[in-house]
Order: sequence, then structure tokens, then C-alpha cells
Amino acid sequence: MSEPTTRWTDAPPSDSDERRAAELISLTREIPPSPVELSSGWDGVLAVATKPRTSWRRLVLAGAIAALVGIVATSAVMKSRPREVIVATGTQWQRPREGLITLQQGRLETTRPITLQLVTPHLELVASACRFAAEVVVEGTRVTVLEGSAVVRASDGSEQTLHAGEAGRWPSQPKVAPALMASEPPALRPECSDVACLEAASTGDGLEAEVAFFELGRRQPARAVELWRTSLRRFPDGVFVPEVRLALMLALVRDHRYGEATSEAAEFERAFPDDPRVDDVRALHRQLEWLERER
Amino acid sequence: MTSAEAARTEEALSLDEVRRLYHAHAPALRQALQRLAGPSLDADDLLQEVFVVALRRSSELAAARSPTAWLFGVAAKLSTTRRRSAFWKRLLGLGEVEELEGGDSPARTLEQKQAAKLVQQALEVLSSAKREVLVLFELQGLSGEEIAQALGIPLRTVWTRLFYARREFAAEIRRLEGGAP
Repeated sequence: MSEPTTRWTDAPPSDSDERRAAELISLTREIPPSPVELSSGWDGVLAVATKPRTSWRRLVLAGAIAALVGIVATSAVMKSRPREVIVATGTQWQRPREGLITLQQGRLETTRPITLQLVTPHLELVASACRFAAEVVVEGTRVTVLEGSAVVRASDGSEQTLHAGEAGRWPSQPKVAPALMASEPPALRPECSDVACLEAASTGDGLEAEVAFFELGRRQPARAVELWRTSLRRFPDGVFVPEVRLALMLALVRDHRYGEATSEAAEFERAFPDDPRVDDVRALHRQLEWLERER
Repeated sequence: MTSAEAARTEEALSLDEVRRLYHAHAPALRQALQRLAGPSLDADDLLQEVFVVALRRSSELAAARSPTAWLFGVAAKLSTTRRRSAFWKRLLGLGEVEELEGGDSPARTLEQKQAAKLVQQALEVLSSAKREVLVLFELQGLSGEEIAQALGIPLRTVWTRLFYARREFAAEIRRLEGGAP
């Protein structure tokens, strides 16, 4: 047996069976790998890696360790070492290695200034001699620095340094579902295109005026909230009420008027429970409430 | 081992470094996993597991001479373990092992598709040890040294396994194509 240091594809074998096998290998090798959805794939890895692992072996080991600790504790006075990290009940977190903590959900606080990296679904925090608290909920992560400073890199790529006494929340703005952003405007085109004509049309009654209001709001973002509110007041049972209310809600989000946007989201959910966009509105509603609470 | 090397083995990779490895190697590893684990196991699931292992054993990964070889080694071991448990589940009727669709194969020609199918069928009859060496050397392009590191075996064993793997593989191809057994 000689050492086969060359690949079949580099030096085709003389044996006919092996030559055929080498041909097939060569054809197969030319097939490029399928693309992998890298971003969501990596998120999946992190989600699995941060899930607490439980197995019988671990439970038995934990039991044995607990028993051993009990024996030691009763037979000797233990010199206790203060814990550097404390977590609230139900917190999902893990310390894959020294210096790295992943926090999926819940609240965590360091008891003294320490140097470590914290990863949550919304950010990466690099703490250097820093005492901080972090809380993760589905909608976002809130960080408060109590001593020292920490650098926060959000998942959108932005970076911010928090100093003692400062707090921040990520994401700092609600994420609007693409389906809401792409929400179709009323199917009808306004009869005219210039603002003066649209203003005149909006004074009328019925569908044409409703369309004119919608279009005026689109053309004049600074007045959009006022115009669409007027539209909803004048045409409470109008054909385009869902579209106008959605547009109004998004305009309020854009203006960072999250409290008012929350009310509009609630009204949309109440009035149009069967609308296909209602789940996206609910998700946005939860984010808005969280941002309002965290202000 | 020098003191610098010793210090390095005690270090672990940062999350960013493991993520970079994921970005660099995920597609090739997924392809290798499809070949090693066969069509009945989910390569995406295995790929995720490879990197969970990488995160949990990042100091070992940091100390590896070739991180690529280390990752392929984990992929090979996971494939073998999963194949074994799938075999027992199937045997005991505990779990349904369904044939996954290979519909996303980026094979460009019909000839490539047929070749890939035959290769996969022939790989299935090899033992795990031989399949690993054949796949990593002939299909994934790892060197003998990298395979030895990945599988934790001597280089000479790599060549011995490859020699027999090639012979059995070629015989199975002949059989599948209707030649004499």
C-alpha cells in the first residue's frame, strides 16, 4: 500500500473502477456549497448556546457537588467569596467562559466593578472595571451603568459609551415591520396633483375628500399628523380609515411621539381585529409601550 | 511547547472571533455535514451544533493549530454520533427518520446531480471512519495533516483509511452502476 498523498482529482488512478469513482468525485467536488443564511444562522447558534443545558448526568453531578458542599459547609467555616453577578429569578443566562456572559431574558447585575463582555439579543456590551445592571425583555435591552463605563454596540451597528449614572435602551427606536411600511395607500388616485387642488378637494364630502386628505398628508410630512387626524374625525366610517390610522401611527412613531402612537395602535387593534396587519401592529404596540416605559 | 504557546492555549476565542469563523466556514461545513451525515439528518441543525460546541470549547479551538480542521473534526464526530443514534432510533422504532429533500443542491448540470447522488449512495456503505477520511480529503480538500488533526489520529492512519475507503468506494460505485459485485 502506497501513501496516497495526491487527490484523485489531481492524479486520476490507473485502475478503471477507481478512475470512474474519481470522475464522480471530481464532478461532485465542483458543486459549490449552498449559501447559508449567516445572520439568522448565527443567531440560532447563540440561542442554542445560551439555553441552559440539563441532563441526567449534569443533575447527578450537581447533586454530588451540592452534597459535597453541604459536608464541607457543616464541617468547616467557609470563607465566602462574594458573588460578582446576581440574577433575578427566571433569568435565562449563561457564562460560556470567563469574561463572557450571554443574557437571553431577565435581569442581571454585577455586584462590583468587573471586566467582561455581555451579549444580549439586542446588543454587545464591553464593560471595563464597570458595575452595571442589564435587563432583557423580548422588545429590547436596558442597561444602567452604576460605576465605571461600558461600551455598547447595538445590533444595528451603532456604538455608545455609557458612564456611571447613565442608562440606555436598545433598540432605541421601534422596529416597524416591513409589511406595515409597505402598506398600500388607498387604491384611488386623487383627482388632481397640486396641493392647492387637493386642499380644495379635501373640503368636499365622501371618497374624493378622504383620498385628498391622505395624499395631502403624504406630501406634507410636517402636517401629516394634523391632516390625518382631521380625516379620521371627518370620516369616522370612511373607506380608508384603516390605512389612515396606520399612516397616522407611523407618522407619530417617526416623530418619536410613542405615547400617541401607542393609542393609535390600540385603536387599530380594537377597530380592525381581522386586518391582516394586526399582528404587526400588536408587535409594534408592545415595543412602543416598552420604549415609553423605559423613557 | 513555548511559554507563548502555553499562554495561548489558556485563552479562549472571543464571540466575534467565533462568529468570524462561522461566516468563513459555515457553507463548506454544511456541505461536509450533508455528505458525512447523509440525507436523513438535518445539516443545518448539525451546523448549529458544531458552532455551539465551538462556543463552549473556545479555548480548545483557540489552541488548535488549524481552526478549520478543528471545526471539521467536530463536524465529523457529530455526524457519526447522530448517525448512530438515528440508526438505533430507527431500529427501535422510537423516532421517524425521514429522508430530507436535497432540493437546494446548487449542482449546475444533470451530470453533477447524478454524480452527487451516486457518490452519496456509495458513501453510505462505508464505515464512519473511512467515510470521514474520504469526504474530508477528496471532497472537502483538507490535507492529510489537517485530517489527522481533525480526527485526532496519526497521519499514517489517515492514509491507511483513505486507501481502503477508496477501494470500497470504487467497488460500490461499480456495483451501483450495474457492474459485477
